Amino acid sequence: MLNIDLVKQGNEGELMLVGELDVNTAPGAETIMLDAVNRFDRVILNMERLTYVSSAGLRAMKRANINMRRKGGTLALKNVSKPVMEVLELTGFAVVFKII
Amino acid sequence: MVKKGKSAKRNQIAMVTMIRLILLAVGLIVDISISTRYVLQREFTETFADFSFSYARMVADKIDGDAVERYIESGETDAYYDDVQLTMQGMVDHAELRYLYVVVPEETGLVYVWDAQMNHAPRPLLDKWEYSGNYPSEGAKLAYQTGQEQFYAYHYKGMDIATAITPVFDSDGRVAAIVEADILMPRIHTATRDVLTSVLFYVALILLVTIPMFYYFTRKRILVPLEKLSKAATGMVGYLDKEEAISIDIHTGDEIEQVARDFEEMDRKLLAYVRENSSITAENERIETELNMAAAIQANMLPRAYPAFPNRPEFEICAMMEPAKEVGGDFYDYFMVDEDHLAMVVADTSGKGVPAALFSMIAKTLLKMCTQTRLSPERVLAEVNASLCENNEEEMFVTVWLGVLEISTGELTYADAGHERLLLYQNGAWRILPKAGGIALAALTPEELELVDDAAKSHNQTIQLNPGDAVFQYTDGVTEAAMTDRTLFGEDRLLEAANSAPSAKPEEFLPYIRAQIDAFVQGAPQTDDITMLGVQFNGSENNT
Repeated sequence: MLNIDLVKQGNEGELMLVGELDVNTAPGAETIMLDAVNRFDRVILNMERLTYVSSAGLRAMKRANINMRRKGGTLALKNVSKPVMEVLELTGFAVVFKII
Repeated sequence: MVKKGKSAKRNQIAMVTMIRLILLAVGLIVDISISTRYVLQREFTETFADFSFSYARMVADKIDGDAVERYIESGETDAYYDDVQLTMQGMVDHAELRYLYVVVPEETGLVYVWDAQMNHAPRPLLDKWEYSGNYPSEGAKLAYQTGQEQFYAYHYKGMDIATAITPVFDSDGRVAAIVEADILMPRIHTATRDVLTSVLFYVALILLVTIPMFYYFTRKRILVPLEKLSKAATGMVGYLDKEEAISIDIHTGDEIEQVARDFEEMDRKLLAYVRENSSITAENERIETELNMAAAIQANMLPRAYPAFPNRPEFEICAMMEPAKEVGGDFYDYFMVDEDHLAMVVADTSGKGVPAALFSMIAKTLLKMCTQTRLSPERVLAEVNASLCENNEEEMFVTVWLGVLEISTGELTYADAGHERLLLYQNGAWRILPKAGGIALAALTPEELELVDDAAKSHNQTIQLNPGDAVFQYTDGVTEAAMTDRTLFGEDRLLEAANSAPSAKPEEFLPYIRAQIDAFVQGAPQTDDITMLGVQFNGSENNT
């Protein structure tokens, strides 16, 4: 289960991810994240209440990140929870994302 | 047996309807009898009232009221009396009246003045008769007191009698006596019986004609169409590979025809559904067959023989992969680079199913080819990353651990690309080795890698294995095996399990860890591929 809420603030869009970003929820989450990347110059993924990220979830995040870089904007991760941070570090993705 | 039951059911409709029809006829007959009797009684009574009154009035008109008082007073008759007596007797004989009499009603009985009876001698003047039976004595008194005519129909000693009562006035206008004309009404019962007989006859006649007609109608309009519907319904499910939907030959123009049309429509839809469903089923079976073949191909691509290298007593290696679906994104590999070098790979491609399996196959091939060029693990990972990044439009990635063991020295050189931490068994205990950077392969292009932190690159790590030492590598299917409440097995539990294992020998260690995971998840379904690889160094001739 994953719930995503968009908090809009001018040119900056913040997505609140609540639940688990796994193989089942990743496709839907990717659509939402890419949509946010199209609309805003700066997108923040608030991961305070994201408890789990699988490789499929990482792929969705990576795609959003690459699309954002192509258009010259910034994608940042905020309040990354401990289990998610472990996955990011293990897979080496921690160095790819801007983490605030 | 089935046929018999069916026809019995069909006859039941006709039987029940017939019984209802007969009950209706019986009800009709009862109703007609009651109403006929009532109507006849009323008609007869009116007719007899008119008839009897006409005689009573005739007598009342004829006699002189003053004479009546005189006769009562004196008790003597005269010529006029006799004359009236004759006239009245004539009326009785002629009109078939039962009684015709002129009386004065007293408290307990009648006092006769004149009397005429059918077939009996008349009562004499001043003869008395006590009231009895149903005789309407109150009516007689009422007529005498008020001078108003009265009529009664009643049952008296086995006879149905109609009595008309008319007063006789004297010259002063007072009631001198009353005239009563009694008529027997024997014909009411007879007439009722006659009418009922004819009613019964006609009803029976009508039933005789209508029942066959009704049966014929029921058969033609209901039973035969129902039989057709029943056959059509059997045909609907009887054979599914038929060419066309059923057509039912019913044109009764009523609800049954509507049902037939509905049946046809239902069969058309059913047939379309069955066809669609069978094509979907065939397609699903084809996909399933192909998936099973893919699973077999994938399994065959992983080295599975045990012992893997029976001629190499210096080490012992064992590995396993259990996909969550038919095909998985996980893979492992081990092969000899040359006589002195054993290469080992454990990898996990993002996603699952066929796309992940195809990507894994490419990665596995590239890793093996590249390792066999004797490049060091970190160089192999860099080269393979560059190759995988070409045309990676699906943006998949793969985490890889690649280790090369130098058998003559026991030196293990490894590099990892975003993979799990290595477990090392040394001096009788397992511990987790720290990571040294490295992002998953195909996550970043070589150019992008240059831009980001150096930590994104994989770096060679070297450890010295002594005889008896072992390493264990795995994929996140192990640490992320979960109970139904999503509690994960985790690295800590893995280390705990490893240290509780009775042996570090891969052949025994891997099944032990697998069993620990099974015990932990308590039957929750496997959601990710589970891969494990273990190698134990036994020492070479050089360093033992």
